[in-house]
Amino acid sequence: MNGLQILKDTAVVDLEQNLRTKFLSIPENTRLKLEIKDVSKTFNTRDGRICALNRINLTIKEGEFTCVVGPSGCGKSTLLHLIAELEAPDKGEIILYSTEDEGRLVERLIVFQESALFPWLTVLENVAFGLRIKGMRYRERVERAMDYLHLVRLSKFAHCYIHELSGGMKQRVALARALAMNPEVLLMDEPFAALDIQTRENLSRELEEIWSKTGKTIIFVTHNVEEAVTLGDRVILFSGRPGTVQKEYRLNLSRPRQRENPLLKEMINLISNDFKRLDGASINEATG
Amino acid sequence: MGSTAKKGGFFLLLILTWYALAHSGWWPEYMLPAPEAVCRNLVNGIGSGRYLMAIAVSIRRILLGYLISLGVGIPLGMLTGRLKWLDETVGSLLLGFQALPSIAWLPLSLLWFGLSEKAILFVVIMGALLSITLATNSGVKNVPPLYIRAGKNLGAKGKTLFTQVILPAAFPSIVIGMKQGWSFAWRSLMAGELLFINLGLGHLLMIGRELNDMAQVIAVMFILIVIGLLFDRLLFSRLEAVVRRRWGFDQV
Repeated sequence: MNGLQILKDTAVVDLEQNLRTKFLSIPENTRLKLEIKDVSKTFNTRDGRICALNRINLTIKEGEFTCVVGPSGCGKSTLLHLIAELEAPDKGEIILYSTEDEGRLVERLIVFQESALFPWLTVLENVAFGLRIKGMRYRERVERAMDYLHLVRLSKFAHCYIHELSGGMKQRVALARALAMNPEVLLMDEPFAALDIQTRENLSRELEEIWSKTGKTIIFVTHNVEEAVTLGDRVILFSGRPGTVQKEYRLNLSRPRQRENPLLKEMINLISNDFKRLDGASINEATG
Repeated sequence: MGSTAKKGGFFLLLILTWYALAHSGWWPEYMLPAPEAVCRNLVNGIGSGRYLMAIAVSIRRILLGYLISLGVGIPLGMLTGRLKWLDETVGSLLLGFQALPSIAWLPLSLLWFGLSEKAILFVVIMGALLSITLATNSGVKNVPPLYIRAGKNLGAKGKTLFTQVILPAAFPSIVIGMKQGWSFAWRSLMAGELLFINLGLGHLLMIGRELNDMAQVIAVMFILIVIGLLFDRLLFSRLEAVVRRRWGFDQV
């Protein structure tokens, strides 16, 4: 109990240190990328109106890896859909600060839990799909799609169809398809949830590597605390029904993240405990 | 033993049994003609051009009716699949009509069009159109929402979303509808030709019956089987192979 207390304090100290270093570093690094202001969203269902998100406020900086953790049905996916403009918020606004980039084809892209790859296209054609929609010439889009297939180490499978790939490979293709569009923000909706533990750990390591290579701003939604702590610069804890931001943790741990790092393990415990308390509270609320 | 050898052996056995039965004298020849009589009839019929003309007439009818059904059915299925109000009105009407065997349209068709090519074309179209339309409709309606979301997210919208995501996603279902539509059209055509129309293969069957020429009846039945298999091999098997290779349905 005592040990945990101390670690909690360390985390706070780290948080302060991190904030300080961020503020003191070059302004480009701290440039605001995304602002979510007072966003609420309600759905009409057969059982009446369900408030999925209630007054969410978040700011996300350029190049930041943000993980959103919460119980299932807490509106995390809804938040991503709102950011991706697949749905519109009822209240509040989401502002994206774009930067000029010639290669930018789309601002906001989601990688879905089930890869959402198109079975009628080959791996290469899937990665090139968005490029084709945007009118890129054949030669150019094949070249670019191949580059991103190299990045996720699947160039050998370029001419396979989707059903010939394993679950982990599908998610890597989906990641390549998203990255090829060079989005401002990459939104990941529990992308590894359907995979086995081994594949999931490999993929999360690869994602960290790709993130440090490309410097993308990533918002990663998961219900797995360990995954969030291993990946994120920040972890944001959501509570369910309606989804609200409960707590925020800033993780100033060295990269690439080492799973054996005791501090990382303690952070997992700390956040897991908060998560469980929250989950318990919401269950009590529902039954009481 | 290879599967071709097995098949060949089986059919050889079948023909030998048929031969033995036909020559056993248990049945009169007008009820069970011998294989060589059927063969002779087939050769004569084709040699004289009589069967070839009937084949040409029947194939022309079915192709015309089927192509019209595709041209109308696929767009109609897409529209009813995407527009809710159209599905609730026209869509439900089509669903009701599908319960009606297409040959039941024949009396009405005769009254409207008279004893003409148009009348039989109408029956053929009523046979094929509905299954093509309904299969396209359900294919378009059952496109997983995830594909649509992913397509939109990657920048496809409106017409592009439709042609690049919804239509290809519905393709397996459309192929099933096309195949079913073809076999319905073929059946409707035969029924129509048997009942009233001169020329065509159905008519030859009827003449065979009237002349007690069972060899002709069986010869024409062979022709019908061969045409059916030919279209299946040339068109539908290939389309199905495309679907299997891409979607990987044969692995399930």
